[in-house]
Order: sequence, then C-alpha cells, then structure tokens
Amino acid sequence: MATGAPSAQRQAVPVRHRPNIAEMTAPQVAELRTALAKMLNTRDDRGYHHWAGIHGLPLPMYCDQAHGRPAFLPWHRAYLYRFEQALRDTGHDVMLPWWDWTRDREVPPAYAEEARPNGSPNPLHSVRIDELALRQGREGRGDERSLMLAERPDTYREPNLPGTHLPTASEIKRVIGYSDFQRFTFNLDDFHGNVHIWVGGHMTDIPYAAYDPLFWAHHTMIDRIWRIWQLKHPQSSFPAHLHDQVMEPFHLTAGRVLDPTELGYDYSLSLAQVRP
Amino acid sequence: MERFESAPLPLSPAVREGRFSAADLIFYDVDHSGRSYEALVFLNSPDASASAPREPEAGFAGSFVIFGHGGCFGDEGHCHVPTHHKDPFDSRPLHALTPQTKIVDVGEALGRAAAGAERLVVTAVAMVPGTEGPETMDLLSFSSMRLVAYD
Repeated sequence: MATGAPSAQRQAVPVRHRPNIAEMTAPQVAELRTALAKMLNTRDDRGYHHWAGIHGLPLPMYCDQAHGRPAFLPWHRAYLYRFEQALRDTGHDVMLPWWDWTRDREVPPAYAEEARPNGSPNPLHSVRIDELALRQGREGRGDERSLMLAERPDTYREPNLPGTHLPTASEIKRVIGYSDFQRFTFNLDDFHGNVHIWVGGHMTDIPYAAYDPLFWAHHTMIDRIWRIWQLKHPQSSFPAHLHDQVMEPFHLTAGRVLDPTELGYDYSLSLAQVRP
Repeated sequence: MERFESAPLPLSPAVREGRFSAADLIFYDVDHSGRSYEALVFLNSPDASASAPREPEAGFAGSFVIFGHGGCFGDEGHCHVPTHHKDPFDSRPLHALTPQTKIVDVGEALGRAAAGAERLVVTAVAMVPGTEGPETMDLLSFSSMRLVAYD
C-alpha cells in the first residue's frame, strides 16, 4: 500500500515512505545498519538504549499504558515516530522498514544475518542490552523467565518454537475488516503478541522486547496495518476520550498521531529515489 | 489457573438459529503481570489441551495473547494495583498492572458450535511454547467472561 499523497496540511513538503524490508536494496540495508550502529554507540538520550528502554526496563515501563488498552496503536505510533527521528538524527536518510510476517514467514535476512558483508557484526541481528535494565531484571522480583533473560546481556531469538503462531494474511484481512476501532485494535493487539512470542528470546516479554532490533520492524508492520485500516474505514470513529490523552513520554496526544502524513511519513512497497 | 472450563452457558434462540452477524467472547480483568502466554479458546471441547490443533474440528475458536510484564522489578508495593482511586484530583493514568480486557472473535466457531445445541461450554488453556512442544502453565487469571452476539 502507498497513498503517495503529500500531506494535506503541508502540501509543499513531500512525506517520506517506510519501505518493506524484503524489497530494500543491499545499499539501503547497509545504510540502515550504519545508522543503527551509530545510535547504539550513542549513550545519551539520543541513543538506542534510551529509546529501547522506554518500552520496558529500566523502569518505568511506559508501554504498560498501551498493551491491552485502547491506546495500543497511537502509543506505538508515537514511539516509532520518535525513534525514527532519533535514527535519522544520525545523519542517514533512512526510514523504519516493516516486516510483512504474513508473507515472509521467517526472520528477514537483513535481521537474521550475524555479520555484515564486510564481516563486522550486524547491528540488526543482536544488540547489547542496557546494563541498568539487566540489573533491574536480575535484582527485581521477576518470574523465572525474566531472570533467565536478564542473565543474557545480548538479545537473542528462538523463532518458531512448537506452539507458536505467526498470524496469517487471512487473519489480518479479517481484522482489517472490522469497522469498530476498539474491536480492531484489541484483536490486532493479540496478533501482535503472537509475533512477539513467535520470535522468542528477548522479544517474547515486555522488559527487553524493544532491545531486539526486529521489534521496530514488527511494530512498523502493526502501524502499517492501522494505516491500511484507517484508509479503509475513514468514517470509523476514534474514541473521544483518547484524543487528548498524552502518549507518555513522547509529548504527543493520540489525536496528534492519527494522520501519519501529518507526522511526515506513509508506507510504500519499495522506493527508488534519484537527485538531479 | 492452567485451564478454565466454563459452566454451561445458555444459548439464546437467535444464537441457536444462527441469527447473528458476529460474536465475541470478552474476558474481563485479565492479569498480565507474569510472563507472556497465549490463551487458546475452544467451544464445546472440554478435553482441549495446549497441543490441540487450531482447527474448527477440534473446537478451536480463537485466542488471546498476553504480552507479559514479566514480574515486578520495583521495590515492595511497586506492583500493587490500587483497587480504586480515592482522590478525585488524582489524574494520573491507571496503574501499569491494571488488569486488561481481552476480546476474542468467535463468530464462525459459535455458528458451528451452537447449531442444534442448547448450551455452550468454553474452555481456555494458558499455553506457552517450548522446545519439546507447547505447555500449559498456571498463568490464566480473570474475573469474568461474557459471550456477546451482534445482529
């Protein structure tokens, strides 16, 4: 899907497009990896660990206001938007790609490969988790699984274990067909959880999920599904009480993030760009 | 609990006769403080287990997923959910571990299970994946469940 339209409010400003990771060229993937590596090497509040930690550990776990709640979609849209801005602040013209797990039923190669073509570690494969987050996991009163995850400082995955389920295209098509926002969002929230559990490892539970770089591609897919739903159900109402609810800590209300083009982005299948 | 088996739910004439366009099972006050799991929901299949196939023939109706909090990482009392807000001037958001509501679309499954039936038994199994196969775990906790059919 791609609307290709400029922002209705800022027509002189072309929106940027988030691409499908499976359609990105090798140079595009290389630039994404370079940008992410720069974020990983930034240890202040512009860096990867700061943004990953907002979701889970270290405390507070801001995502608790989103999961299983009506704010699930706007909160994560605000989160992706702010993360993407930090990613672009590295000086690279990159956008968050989406992983279409309804079509590509394995972890995308860009994320699965342990090393880059030059032999250096692939930052999309695994990252070192924030030390404070690990310490809180070790010293808190987490369950047995949380303690195990806290003992592994580098993110890992264990995809497709028996019993896991990756949502199918027909399941997502059915959800997109719901005209009621709450029914749509609660059901999509559950399918989103299926993907977290399918990926396994640190992605499975809230405390460390956002440290796995695949988290961002997964949630960009969720945001894309919401965008498709919005275009399909333009008359569907959005809960009034959510409009003015602030998506903490992003300084954005839910109403402010309803239109992605107002945030300067939309979705495309692929993108090729030249400059004169 | 590891699994929940409901008391038989009476079915209205409209449900028995298939005069509904959609139906949801709604679970209220679902705990999400522990690890992640998937609750598999079956209709009129009281023997269903975590390894039952996700097929209509097995009575599978759908599922909900808890993306788990993983326990408590704060000091004593950090994860205590206030039962109510006493202060009308307290505008803070809900406590992080305030229980959730979960909605499972069971329209198609209800159409199959209710045809000719007087009552409906709902079974929910808390499943976590494992290298040796799916397992049930003591993770499922909620206050009530409601079957809602829509015209």
